[in-house]
Amino acid sequence: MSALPVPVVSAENLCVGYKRRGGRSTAILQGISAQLLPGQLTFLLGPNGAGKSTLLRTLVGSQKPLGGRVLLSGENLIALSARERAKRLSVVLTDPVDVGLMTVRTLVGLGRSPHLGWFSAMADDDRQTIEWALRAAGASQLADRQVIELSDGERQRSMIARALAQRPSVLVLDEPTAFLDLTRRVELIALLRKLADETGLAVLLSTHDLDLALRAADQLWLVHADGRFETGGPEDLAVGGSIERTYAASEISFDHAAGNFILARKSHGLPIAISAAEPSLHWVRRAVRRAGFDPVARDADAKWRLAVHDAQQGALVWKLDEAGCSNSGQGLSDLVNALAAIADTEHNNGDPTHDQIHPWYNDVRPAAGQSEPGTRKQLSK
Amino acid sequence: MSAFDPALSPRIRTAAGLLVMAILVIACFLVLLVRGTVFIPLGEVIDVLAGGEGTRSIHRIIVMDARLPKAITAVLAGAALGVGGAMMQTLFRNPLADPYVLGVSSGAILGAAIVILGSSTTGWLSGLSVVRQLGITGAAVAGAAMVLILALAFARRLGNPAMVLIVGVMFGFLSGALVDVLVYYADPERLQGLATFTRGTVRDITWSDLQVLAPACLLTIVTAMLLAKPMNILLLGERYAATMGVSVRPVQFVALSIVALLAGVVTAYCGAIGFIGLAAPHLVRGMLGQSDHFVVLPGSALVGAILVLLAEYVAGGNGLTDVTLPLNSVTAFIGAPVVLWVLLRRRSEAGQVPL
Repeated sequence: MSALPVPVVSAENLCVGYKRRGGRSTAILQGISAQLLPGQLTFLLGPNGAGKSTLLRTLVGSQKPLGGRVLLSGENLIALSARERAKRLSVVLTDPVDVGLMTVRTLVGLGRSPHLGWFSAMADDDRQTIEWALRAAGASQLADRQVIELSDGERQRSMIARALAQRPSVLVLDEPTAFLDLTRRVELIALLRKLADETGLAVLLSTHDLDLALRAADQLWLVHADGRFETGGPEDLAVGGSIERTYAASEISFDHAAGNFILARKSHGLPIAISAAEPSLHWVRRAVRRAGFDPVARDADAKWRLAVHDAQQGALVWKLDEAGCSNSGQGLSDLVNALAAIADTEHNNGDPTHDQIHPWYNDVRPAAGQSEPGTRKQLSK
Repeated sequence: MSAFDPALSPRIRTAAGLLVMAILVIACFLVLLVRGTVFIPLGEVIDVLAGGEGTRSIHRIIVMDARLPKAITAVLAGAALGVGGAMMQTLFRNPLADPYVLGVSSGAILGAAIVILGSSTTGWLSGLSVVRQLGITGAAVAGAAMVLILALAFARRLGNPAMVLIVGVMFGFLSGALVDVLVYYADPERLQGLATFTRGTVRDITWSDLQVLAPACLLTIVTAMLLAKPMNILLLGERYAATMGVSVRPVQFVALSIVALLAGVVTAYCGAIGFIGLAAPHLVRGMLGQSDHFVVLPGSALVGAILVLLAEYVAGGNGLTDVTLPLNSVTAFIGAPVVLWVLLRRRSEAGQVPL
């Protein structure tokens, strides 16, 4: 094994929070010890209001730590001048950028500022760095466009190119995926991954995109709602249940198999056995969970049995059996509606093993009387 | 104008644009020396400026003692207001910021009024008009600084440019009302000194006034130019600037001090000249197509000078009419359409205004 790489940024027993007037301070996160390593992509995850932004502000030197310290390539961050800091660390914020009449190349050129003199005179070396930064951020074709004409994704790229023009050893991004659609998000993460791999840049970004984070991260920093801080590889934290606990809430649950969160309307814990072929199986499972059912592996454990077939033209045909009653339909939306109705009934009766319809059920049931009581056929169209 | 042809490379276009502006300043400057109630031929003016006696001694007196100080004051005040406006628009992140609109000039008038109406004309100060004028200037600078600090505090809290504008207008009203109250309690004889303040004028400036006005304007304009680099980075906002090597607080402090000094000094000698600080930077950005402060600051100085020279020509320096108008009644014709244009553009481009 080779020696461990030297961390570019290391937080030592860091305590972050706010200083109030009168010297009183409110700590938000305490006892943070973590490192950013060259060439690594680190994601900062946590629920809103847990202190992600405060932590980032402290790490980039915009705010003083309440305790502990941040070392930037071995030197105490708050002892560095703004200019020294800017040469080693650059930041991409969510702030709207309203720079007036300026081409993307000029904007990226502003990134050279910490390296330039009073009159911003540029040498060839600086101009080459600007072109390199534009290329590295995939913004070369934007270079001559006006910044105000860009789309959100293009502006994001330009701001990253500007950050790269600072020639930093660490790049910190605050929620860079927030205003982007899914394709742009994936592109952005791929871009950061590539930058970290090819240039040895240490990248730290905060995000709510758990799925992307789990796939692309070398390291996760987790901030819990109660102020605890954890760090580790994405797989370790997922297996250990840390990610699940970070986002603990009544409406969502973590799907270990898929590595992402699922949103349940209500979790009723109703056992259902599914027979379907891949790739439909994955989506049927999701649909079933969304309706509040629990897929189980063995038929014997299940009260409901669901069979899904691929019909022609990609439409799914499903058939649901429950102790003699059967119900079928087309499309997973109908399935979810049907299941949700069952789940509601089960829940309202407070007796999951009942096999008779509750008296008022007939009154609220749509189109009551058109079918025999006891079947739920009309719940699907 | 061919200098503004977009086909030319940006560098040449910028250089050509600034050159044209500089030539226009000189041309307007000379026009103001030539025209007036008495027409003096250009050759005669140049002869007098070069130290000659002129064909008639009255020409020499008119040019050297009346028109030259007036034209120099117009250039200095216009340049100072243009630079001040450009700085304020970046500092406030607001395309409508300007010393006059945000009530900074009103604050300066209030400061000056307190000294003019409060100090005794028969006391020891009365014999020392330069000292008295310095006292007025100091009070005007203090008044300007006060409004600037208040306006910035409000701007941070509100964020919305239109709201900041309203707050500035309110500061203007408030200062104006305070001046009115002072006027009612003051001796009528002292009011004369106050009369020109709200109308704006570059006339009645003497060479001894210029001994204070010129160095103050030049010093602040040069200092402002030295801040071009951090001002460029501040276009990205304070938070970005802080991560790009700018010491935001010191830069803001120096820049605001410059603006307070510019606005205070100009107001103390010329009264409140409206809209120059607002219009000049927008015209420069529009003509040169960029927001780079290395271009916008000198450009605003030149265009500000041109605007005040033109306004003075229209207001009374043309010799075509007997009436001389207050400068503000002319500058408003330039300024008000620019405000409307900026607001309309803001709406049509979904909140994006070239700063």
